[in-house]
Amino acid sequence: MYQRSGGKMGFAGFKFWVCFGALFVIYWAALNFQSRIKYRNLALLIGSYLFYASWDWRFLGIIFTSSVLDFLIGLQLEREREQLKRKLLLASSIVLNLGFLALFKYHNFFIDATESMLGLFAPVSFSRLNWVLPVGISFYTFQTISYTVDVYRGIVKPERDPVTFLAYVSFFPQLLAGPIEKAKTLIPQFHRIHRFELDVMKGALLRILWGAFKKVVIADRLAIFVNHAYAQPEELTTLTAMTAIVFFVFQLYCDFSGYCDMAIGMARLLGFELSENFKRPLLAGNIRSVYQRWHITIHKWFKDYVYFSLPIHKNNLQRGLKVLLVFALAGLWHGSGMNFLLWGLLNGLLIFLLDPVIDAAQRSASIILGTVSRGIGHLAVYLSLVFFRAETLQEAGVVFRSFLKWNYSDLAAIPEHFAQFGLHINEMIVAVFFVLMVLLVECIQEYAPEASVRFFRGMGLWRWSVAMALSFCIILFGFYDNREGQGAVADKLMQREFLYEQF
Amino acid sequence: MNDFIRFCVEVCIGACSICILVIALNHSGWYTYHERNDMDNLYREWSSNPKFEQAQLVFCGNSHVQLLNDSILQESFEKKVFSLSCGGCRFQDHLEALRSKRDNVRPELIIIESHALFSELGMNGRVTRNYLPTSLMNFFSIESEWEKIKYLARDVIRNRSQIEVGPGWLAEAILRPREREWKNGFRKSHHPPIGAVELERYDHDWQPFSDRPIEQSVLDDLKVFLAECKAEGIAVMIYESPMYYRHFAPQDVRRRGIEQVAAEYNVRFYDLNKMDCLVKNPLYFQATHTDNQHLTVSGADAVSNVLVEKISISLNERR
Repeated sequence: MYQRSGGKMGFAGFKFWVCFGALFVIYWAALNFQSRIKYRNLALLIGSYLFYASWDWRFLGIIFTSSVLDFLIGLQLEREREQLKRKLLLASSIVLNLGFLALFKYHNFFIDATESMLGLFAPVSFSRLNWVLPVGISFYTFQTISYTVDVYRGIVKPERDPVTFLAYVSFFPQLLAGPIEKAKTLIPQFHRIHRFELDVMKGALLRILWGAFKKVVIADRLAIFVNHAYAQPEELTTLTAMTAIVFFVFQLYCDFSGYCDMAIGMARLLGFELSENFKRPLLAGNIRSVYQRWHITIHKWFKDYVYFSLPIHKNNLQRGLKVLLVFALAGLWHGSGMNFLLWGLLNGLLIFLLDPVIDAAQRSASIILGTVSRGIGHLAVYLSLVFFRAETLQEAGVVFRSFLKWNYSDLAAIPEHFAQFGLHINEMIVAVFFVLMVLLVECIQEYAPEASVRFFRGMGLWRWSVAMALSFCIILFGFYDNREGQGAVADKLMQREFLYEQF
Repeated sequence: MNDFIRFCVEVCIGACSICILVIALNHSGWYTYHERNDMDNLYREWSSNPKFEQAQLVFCGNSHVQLLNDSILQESFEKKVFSLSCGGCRFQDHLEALRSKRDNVRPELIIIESHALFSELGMNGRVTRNYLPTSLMNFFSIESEWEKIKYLARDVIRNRSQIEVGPGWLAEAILRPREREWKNGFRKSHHPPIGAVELERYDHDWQPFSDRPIEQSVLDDLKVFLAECKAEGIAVMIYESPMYYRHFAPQDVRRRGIEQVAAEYNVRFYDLNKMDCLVKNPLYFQATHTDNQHLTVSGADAVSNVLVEKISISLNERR
């Protein structure tokens, strides 16, 4: 909805939707024909590269180099019969891809770690590199690694058409923040002509609106409070700290799942089917299940390419160590700080230690015990997200310490407390209402899927009304630019990008 | 291809429906209703309001004056009363309004409420709005395409938070009780009184707002105005609207500034914060934790009754 700074074309930008509308019409009217399939894929590639270049044209060099190398390595892997050489080719692909990632994302992390280690003997200081992190690098790097590993394992045949391969790596709906697509699911879709199915298209449009609603109306609204809270953690009290933690959970969920809904909807409008990345994680029964439903593609990636690549475990301790390692890597994938590492390790530990207790409680006949244990599991995950959101471990420590600042008079002045963190009390009430609405929809999808099916197959008037209601909510309740009132004060702390774009 | 065309048509119909509804909403004026208090709107209203020209008692102030009970004031004197006031109004704004109507407006008494004696955010800083593009060129000169499209719905887009932060304004705009509630520039207070929770807070967790002096430039303007009124034979009275006695620290520095100017020009100044019967009654004051505490309906009645006494003294002296 809002105009972004510079020429960037994000999903939440008006320019993007104008360009996408034009592409959509040209795509279906002139390109999606058997005789023009090469031109169609070329158009998708050019569109994707222009989209990516709008962030920073220099990023194109990185994605192009990475894609070409993996394309060539893939072809070479097919030709090569000698196992050692194949392993070398695979290793070179992984090293090159991770090298790019390390160079752009983890350079300062490594410098910090080296300084800390050498600092044990003598104080040292190295200069930092102030390089901009290319958007989406973590996502497409993992996508290309999965391609070469799958080719190496013989799961997919290497792609021979460079245009198709480059389009697969840079496909714009999922370029910035996933879902991370495996070659065997996405590449074949570039080789076939898509059918225009009216119901699918309408569903896709509705999904885009639902994603935009979650992002602009809920996530960006909660972001004002959360960003204020983490910008001045010393000001937090028990009440506001708890609110900030809960709000961040919903902000993160609505932001990222909103992005994914939009990405999946957009791809469907072009006839492509992307993987689901969320499956109602807030309704999960235990912590393991949370991560089977949250950012599904990345966790599946780690499972397929890291967990199953590790030696088979012989006992529970070895299994636990494998889980810890996978979660530590998943934490570091999100960001190059000790806080992300700790977040990953904590979640690994929670799965290893707390999940058996939750499972046992849920197996018992007591509904209360099952519900309480489920609640404790969720609470543990939510609390661990403090490390995810805080920029440093010290900041996370300040947030946790603020739990001790309990004051009964806080309850009497809730509106003032919330105003201090940038939101009017009514804006908070609306936020809570919309969050409950999202949860209600998810409960229906989870526990009464037939109602969901009826909605999509039933009378069109319902879907039309929902689409109109979502559009109006976005226009009238959205936290995009030029919002006056309480939000305007906090303009600097507004969340403009999608959270996962920074990874 | 048929499905594709049908889809495009349906999307266009949907988009057009949304645009038409938003533009209609924009045109209804509901989303700018709360801005009628803006200086440019108020100037328009004041200058075209015959009640201003006929007024014998003119009140100048901001929201503190606006909430007074005009029936009590008008019936006590049987004189025409008018309030030049709006939320956040400055004394300099009143000066401009009074000076621009100097030839037509000849009140007997001007009553200045001293909370308007501050100098932040003048009229010069306010944005003048054009509601329709004056030419096609003007329309296309707007830089971003989003700006172009939202031009037709700009009030709704700009003030969309009203539905949350000011639902009362929207309700008022839709129900239009303007004639009933707005009388001679006064309006009924809608503020809830201080309750048990706020009283508890004053007991345990309250730092009174500090005493702040009035800027010298404002006092200089006040002096010029008092001199002009004296020359034209218009009586002036200054008063400070009360706030709950624990809300503010004693306002000695502030009061001294006004007292000096009032004494210099032989004008009466009443600080109603000195009246215990007013400032110690929590029912008279808005439950708030901000530094601008307004009167409730009963507070406005009580202050209006006190003002009737004080105004009578000034009017008698004039005779």
